[in-house]
Amino acid sequence: MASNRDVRDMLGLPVGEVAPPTANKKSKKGGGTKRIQGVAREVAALYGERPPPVAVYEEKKTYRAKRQSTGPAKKWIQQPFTNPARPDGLVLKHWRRKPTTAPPVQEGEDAAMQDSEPTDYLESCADYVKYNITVDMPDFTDEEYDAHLRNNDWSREETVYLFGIVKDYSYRWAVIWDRYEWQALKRRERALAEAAQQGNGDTDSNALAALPFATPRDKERSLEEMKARFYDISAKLMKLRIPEVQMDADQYSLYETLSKFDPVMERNRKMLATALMNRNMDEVKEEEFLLTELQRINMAAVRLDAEREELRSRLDAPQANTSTAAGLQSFTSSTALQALFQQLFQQDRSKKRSSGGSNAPGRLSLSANDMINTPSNSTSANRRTSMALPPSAPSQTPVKTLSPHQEHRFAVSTHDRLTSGITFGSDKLLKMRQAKSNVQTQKIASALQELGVPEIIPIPTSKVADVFEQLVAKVGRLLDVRKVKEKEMGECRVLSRMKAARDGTAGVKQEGDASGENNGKKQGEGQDTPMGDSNEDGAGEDDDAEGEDDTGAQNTPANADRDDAEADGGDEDRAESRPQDVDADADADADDVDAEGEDESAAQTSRATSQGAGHKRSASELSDGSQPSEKRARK
Amino acid sequence: MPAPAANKRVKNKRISRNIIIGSEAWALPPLGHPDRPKGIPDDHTKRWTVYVRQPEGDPSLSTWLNKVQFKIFNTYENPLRTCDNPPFEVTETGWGGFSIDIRLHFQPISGEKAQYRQHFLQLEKYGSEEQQAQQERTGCVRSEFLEVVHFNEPTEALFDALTAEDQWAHLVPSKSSSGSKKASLGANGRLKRGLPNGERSAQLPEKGGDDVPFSQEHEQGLIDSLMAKIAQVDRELEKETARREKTENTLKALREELGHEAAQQAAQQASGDRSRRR
Repeated sequence: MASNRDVRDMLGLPVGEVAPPTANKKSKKGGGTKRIQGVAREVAALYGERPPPVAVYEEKKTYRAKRQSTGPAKKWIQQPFTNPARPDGLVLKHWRRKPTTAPPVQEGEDAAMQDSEPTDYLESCADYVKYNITVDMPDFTDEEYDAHLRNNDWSREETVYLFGIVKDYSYRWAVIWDRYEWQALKRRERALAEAAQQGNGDTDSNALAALPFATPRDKERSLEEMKARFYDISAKLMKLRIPEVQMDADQYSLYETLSKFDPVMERNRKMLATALMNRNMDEVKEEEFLLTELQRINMAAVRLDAEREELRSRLDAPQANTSTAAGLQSFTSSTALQALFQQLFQQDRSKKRSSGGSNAPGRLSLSANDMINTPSNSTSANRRTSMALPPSAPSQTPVKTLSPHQEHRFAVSTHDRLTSGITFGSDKLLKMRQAKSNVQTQKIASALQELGVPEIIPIPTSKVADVFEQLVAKVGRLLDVRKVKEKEMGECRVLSRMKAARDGTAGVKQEGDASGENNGKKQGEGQDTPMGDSNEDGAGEDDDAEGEDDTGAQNTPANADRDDAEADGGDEDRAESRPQDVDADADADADDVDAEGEDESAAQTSRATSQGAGHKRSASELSDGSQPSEKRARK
Repeated sequence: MPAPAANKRVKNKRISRNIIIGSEAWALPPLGHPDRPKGIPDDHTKRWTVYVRQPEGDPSLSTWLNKVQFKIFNTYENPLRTCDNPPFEVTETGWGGFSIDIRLHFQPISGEKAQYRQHFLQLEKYGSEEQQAQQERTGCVRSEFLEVVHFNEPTEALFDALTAEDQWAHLVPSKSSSGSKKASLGANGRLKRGLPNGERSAQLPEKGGDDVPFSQEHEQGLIDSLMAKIAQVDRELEKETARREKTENTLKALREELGHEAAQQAAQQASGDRSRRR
């Protein structure tokens, strides 16, 4: 800290000269600067050394008017007055200034003046009228009370008393309850009556007191009881005066509050409030703790619920594509569908015209945008303009819009439904060969083989695929027709046999002939088929094998033999499954053995065995008597 | 969850590319012949090559094909052969044919997983007599198939790459001297496929030839033959239908004659036979 000398040194003052600081102070004081007090001093300090722009005056020095004394003191008198709010006309006095017009009076006459003045001048003071308000009270007649307002708990007198006291204290229920003295009143009355009775005779009073009904109920009324009674009556009267339907909103709400008053609930509410008020500190703390705990649990529950919901939504199936759905929704009506069909038809025609045959697959290609645009194209003119657009141009995410020619060059095609990923043309062709069932797949494969279609199509382009698909569909249809035919033929055979059986025992031979004819006919038909020659026999035999042959084209003799063996097995099964042919069983078995023997010998053609099977079946069908002859015939 | 922009796919679009998967096999000179290369086991009789390539003049394979793995018979040394760059092929010697697993790895921009194809290594002569004669003559057994790879809903990057003009860049000779111009003309005097101003398309070549095994001509031929088969099946179908109607009529007549119950019984028997056979 710089000392006095340092400062002097810096200011270039001589060290020795010490100017007395007291002199400076004195001169300052002498300059007349006053000590300013309080806030003003602070403000002055803010101004610094500059003079304030506005003169600051101290408040206590401001001008105040001097009290004017106007003559001697005024006289006050005790003025009597009547209060119009009071019904009894009581005259009271209050102090008032004596009217100045009155002549000055001597001091000695004061007492006389006071006595005389009220007689000649009575003030009516209306100041208090505004405080004299009477409340609106429902009132009832005797008839009304008897009809509607009776209550076992309340006597008529007490009700009237209650109404009176309510009116007196203007619905201030606390006061009403405080001042309610019906019991005390009764007790006093009773005491008076007893006293009177004691005067008359003691016996009566004792008898009356012994009777239970005679003792008037004089229990303490609780506030709720009083309220309930009063409100009940008010509501009933209100309803009597104005029917419910005619009440306006205010009246009805009032009526509702009046009629819904429940004394028990009110008492409970008050008890709870009291209990809440009277809690001690520990209880308050515990409650707060429990509340925060509850809040915490609730929040955790909400979070847990949200998490579960999210998980569930993740696990759920993805929502349907709304944009596509919206697009499809517009095609629910038949007119919209018609329009769509028209558009597609026109589009297809224009495409064919413009690009000739070189355009890629002959199937309709539709982008989703086309579908969405269609509904707006209701008029034909609009439709034509939309047709002018290249069909594949508006793709949903046009990375690069290509002309149809370019698309063809780069082998880009548009499809309705694509699963993204890589597929191969040959896989597609392979898939077409596969039917729903294994058997059908086998059948299709063998049919295609018959046709001479190679197992691997060397050029699996989409054009080829389309043609191949047609081919497979046709083959499938052919197989179906063939299946139905075979089934029907089987049925035919069974029926004709039955017919023969019905016609008579001689029918055996006929049947044999007939079936022989049948076979011959079928073979003739079989030769018509354009299938490969080597297959023909097999096919014919299949037909012969009573339509049981599912595989359709067994062309190797080994297969045919196996077939027949199976046919035999089938026969056996059938024979066993029919209990009524017990006798026939042995024969059938014998036949089977024979048939197998034939198979083993393999000298006979499969046709012969199958014919044999045919005979055998007919034999099992026929009566016992015919069987030996049949067997002989076969051998 | 929205897919990252890199994997965004072009909806409803499919891009197809033709590739040829095949093998060639030549007979090796017999044991002791001076031409027989050294270091080959004695029992090997053939030299073969299995390959994946594009048809001549097609857009470059490597636009979408990253690498190819050939899984050859596991007695070979290092049976999983990987080719990272074209030509995608493996040459070996051996004595027997087997099935080769070919694994195609696609370019990362496609966002696709690798796919398997199978090819049977054909070493011996096969096919019709005519084919066999030709194979005898050339001493080369070639067995190849066209495969069409469909990129369904390709990623936008792949879509861009597969529709770009520079896919043919690999075919343009680096030096455009006068000699190369002659070379660029095909055997039929036309510009070779895939060169500028020539036929530049990912479709099959329009014209077939000796060195063009797959073309639109071939395709048309195949379609025609399939069409012929369809006609054949149609004829057959007509006949079969007529025959069926005939049987149906006789069946109806029989049913009427024998009554309802008998007809039902017969139907049961007939169908019962069929079901038992299965």
